[in-house]
Amino acid sequence: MDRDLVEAAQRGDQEAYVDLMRPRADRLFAIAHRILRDIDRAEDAFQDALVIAWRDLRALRDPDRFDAWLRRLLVNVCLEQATRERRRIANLRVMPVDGPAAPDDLLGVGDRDQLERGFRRLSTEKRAILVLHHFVGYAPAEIAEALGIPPGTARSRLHNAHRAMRAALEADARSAEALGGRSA
Amino acid sequence: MTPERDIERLLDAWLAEGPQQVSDRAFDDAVARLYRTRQRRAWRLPWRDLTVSTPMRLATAAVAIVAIAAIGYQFLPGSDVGGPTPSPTVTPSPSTTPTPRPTATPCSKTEPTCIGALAPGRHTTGGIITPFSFDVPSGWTKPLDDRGVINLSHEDYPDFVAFIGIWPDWLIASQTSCSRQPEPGLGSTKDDIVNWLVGQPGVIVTGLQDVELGGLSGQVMDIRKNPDVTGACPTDFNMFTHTGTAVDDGGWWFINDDARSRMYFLETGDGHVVNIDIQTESPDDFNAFAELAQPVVDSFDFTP
Repeated sequence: MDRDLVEAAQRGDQEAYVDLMRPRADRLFAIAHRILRDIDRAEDAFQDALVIAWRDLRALRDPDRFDAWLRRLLVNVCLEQATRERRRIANLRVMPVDGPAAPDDLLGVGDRDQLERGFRRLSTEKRAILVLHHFVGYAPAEIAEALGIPPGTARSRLHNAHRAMRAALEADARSAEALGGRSA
Repeated sequence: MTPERDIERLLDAWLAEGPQQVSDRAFDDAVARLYRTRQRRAWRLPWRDLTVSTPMRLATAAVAIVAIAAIGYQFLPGSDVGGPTPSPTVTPSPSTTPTPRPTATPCSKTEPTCIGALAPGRHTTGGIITPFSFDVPSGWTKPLDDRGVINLSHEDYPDFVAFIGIWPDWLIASQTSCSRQPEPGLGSTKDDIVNWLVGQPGVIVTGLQDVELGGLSGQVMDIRKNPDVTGACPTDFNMFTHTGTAVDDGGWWFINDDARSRMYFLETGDGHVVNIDIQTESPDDFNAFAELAQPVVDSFDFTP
């Protein structure tokens, strides 16, 4: 069914494209939000990805690869947007949780704050890799496809992203201790 | 929190939190934008897909800015995409081409690597592995000059709706899958490619003839996709690829129902086959654009 919609959209059928995107919209936005950590920027990335995908849909050779192609495009929109945003002063404000929260016994408020700060210390590419793995559920081979890199490189970058996240959390804990704060 | 805790389990839980739904406003705005956005034709996009280097993309963007400033037409009519290009580029191009210099002034005759509007007169190429020189009158632009591709476009045909493309060393692309992988077992000489094209039901070849151009010998033909034949790709006829060649820049060529192409295949004598295309997105544009492009192509000189 989706293949038919993709092919119709490739022939210029805008209604088919909207039908194709509607069930994917929430997931795309959620991925963008996890990477960019900002609702407005995530909406911008989502909209750009939607329009760019329409504009360049005829370049998709295999309609069955539409979802992988679309996610790859979204990730790159996020990366490009983050590059533009680097000029701005980093905003380390902790985002309020307005979606379902994990059980309290798994993540406390302090954990969430620390994860947020640590995550924001990472490069956008490392964030994207972690989001693709932990939120989207991609295996390293799928991350490789999404980012256009060899599978071995994806594995090593995932490992490095985990290591960087751990280091960011450690740095955050040290800062908290230096300021007389709490280290959970 | 201590670093010893299971970081992966924490990330699983933490990333699952947060907003899950896009607002209706954001979705509706995106839909409104796409209704104002024209789809791009397929066959020029693969260069943007994987391997175009960042400098090249910046150069191309700069050309667009030059076009707006110098020519004054509305760039990308119908498209209001304000975001970044979709190029999922992560790996730089293997090209060894010197970084093109985007310029707001026309490329002079002594700047072979220059990307942008071309000053009237004779020019030499920069990065392509089969270098040549050529003459242009006013109105021509060189938006791409890399080791595996040169494009020449005219101000009357913006946004690549028509252009001259020059590509060295094609392999025939897969005919069993819609991919940029080469079709196994097929050769890559001029005769291999021409004979294969002539024998394909997926394309209609007319006017095949021998030709001498710029010191090289070869053949020229007009081709278009046969709309009654569906091949490996749903909407296009899969033709050529640079995958597996010495160029290996991600180049991939295919033709859709509406496109028209005059294709030259020339042997350089040192192992290369140069493909020159005079292409238009619409059949209605072909004769008029070919009239502009043919003198430029006829001026090509491949002699050292």
